[in-house]
Amino acid sequence: MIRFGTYTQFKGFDFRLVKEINHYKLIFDGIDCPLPNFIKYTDNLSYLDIPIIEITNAFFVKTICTYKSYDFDVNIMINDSHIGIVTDNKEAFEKLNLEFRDRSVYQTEINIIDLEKLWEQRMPSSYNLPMPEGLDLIKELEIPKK
Amino acid sequence: MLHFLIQILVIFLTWLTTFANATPLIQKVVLTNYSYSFPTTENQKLESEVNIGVLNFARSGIPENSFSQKSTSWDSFVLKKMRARMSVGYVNAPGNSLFSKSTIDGINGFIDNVASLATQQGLNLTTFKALQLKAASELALTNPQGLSKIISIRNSIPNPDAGTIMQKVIPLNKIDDFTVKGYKPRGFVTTAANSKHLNTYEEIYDGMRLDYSIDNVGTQAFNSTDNGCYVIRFKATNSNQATSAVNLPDPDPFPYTNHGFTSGRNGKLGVPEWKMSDAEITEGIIYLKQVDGTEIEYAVFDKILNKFVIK
Repeated sequence: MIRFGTYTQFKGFDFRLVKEINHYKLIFDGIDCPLPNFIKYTDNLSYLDIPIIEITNAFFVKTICTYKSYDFDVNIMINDSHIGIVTDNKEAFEKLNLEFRDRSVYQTEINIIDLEKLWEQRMPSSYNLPMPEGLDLIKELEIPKK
Repeated sequence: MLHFLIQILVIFLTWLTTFANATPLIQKVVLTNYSYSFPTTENQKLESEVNIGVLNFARSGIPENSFSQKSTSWDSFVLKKMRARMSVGYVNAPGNSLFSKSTIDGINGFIDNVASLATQQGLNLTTFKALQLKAASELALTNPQGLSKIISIRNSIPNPDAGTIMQKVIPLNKIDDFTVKGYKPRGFVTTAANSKHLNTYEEIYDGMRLDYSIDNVGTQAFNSTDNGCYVIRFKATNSNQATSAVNLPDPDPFPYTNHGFTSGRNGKLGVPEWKMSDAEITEGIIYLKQVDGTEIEYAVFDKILNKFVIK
């Protein structure tokens, strides 16, 4: 799964975290949520509104990859095998013949098995909460074999 | 003895009455006979009707809402679904007017302050616009003092934060990147308030200098003859990390200026711009901006889906 956004560790599981005015929203991305009482939103998403006091940690995650020697931000999972990647590197744009989305925004969609490296970068969130104890700031992700 | 027989008779009659009115045991365990199902198309029609009712409910007073006249076995399911959507901003709840042009027009922006900012640097609006038209690289050679002044003005404009309404303009043919694929706005952005003086598509095209080429043969992302554009207005947790588009390394060719303002042309005042990474959006709306400046809500950011959803 490609992650981008603010997450929290809650009762042993990672959930995407959205701050509302008077509470947080925990969002589980998957079919079977490991915790009870989550409300089904789509087949693959469920959520739970939870009091602010119950959330004690948060961290921001972005997923990065190396593709043909250039680093890209991984934005989206297009399907089980393909991802959307984006960079502001003009040299990568020219050499890899990337799609021009906007000035300094160059993107392409590739098969995940073509990546050289894939990792998550975790950093403090904007929610003014400490990061979970022992969280790896860099977490390398396994790339499926060709 | 007679008294005893009368008592027996009363007990017998009472028992007989109770038996006659009793609910048959079988009725207590079978499904109620008013429970029914609809064929799929009927279900969809009903859901549509209830959706309309809920939308009206959200937009109007209870007495006149059409929902109050609808009651089907689907109500609880659809209502639950719609309430969930409304709670995350899927439906055009009143709060979303936060992003409308009329609201933006009421926020203090660049157009309200440019005269005084220019005066502080010994400029007037005309001389400021003349400086704004040129790239930093050209000003560095021909008018370094002017470059210093325009950058001072730029640096006096507050940086955005998570509460700032950001704005990103995209071509008509790129909308699927955001509503279908789910890419996040990134790259060069402005704030909605700082660009509120640009209303029509022509004003946006000239003021934001959308006439840039995307390749060496002059292909443009936007064209002056386009039937408008899309405007993404959003708030993001990481807006405070946007950097002023000043003195960036390896700058794009003109009309990009690298002094922090777009080089508004044809008399249009340019806008302060920033560069940001993928926006972690908390709320937002995509408007279809028509040529005459009219804006139509096109998509709303869904926090749970984490993407814009077409209305």
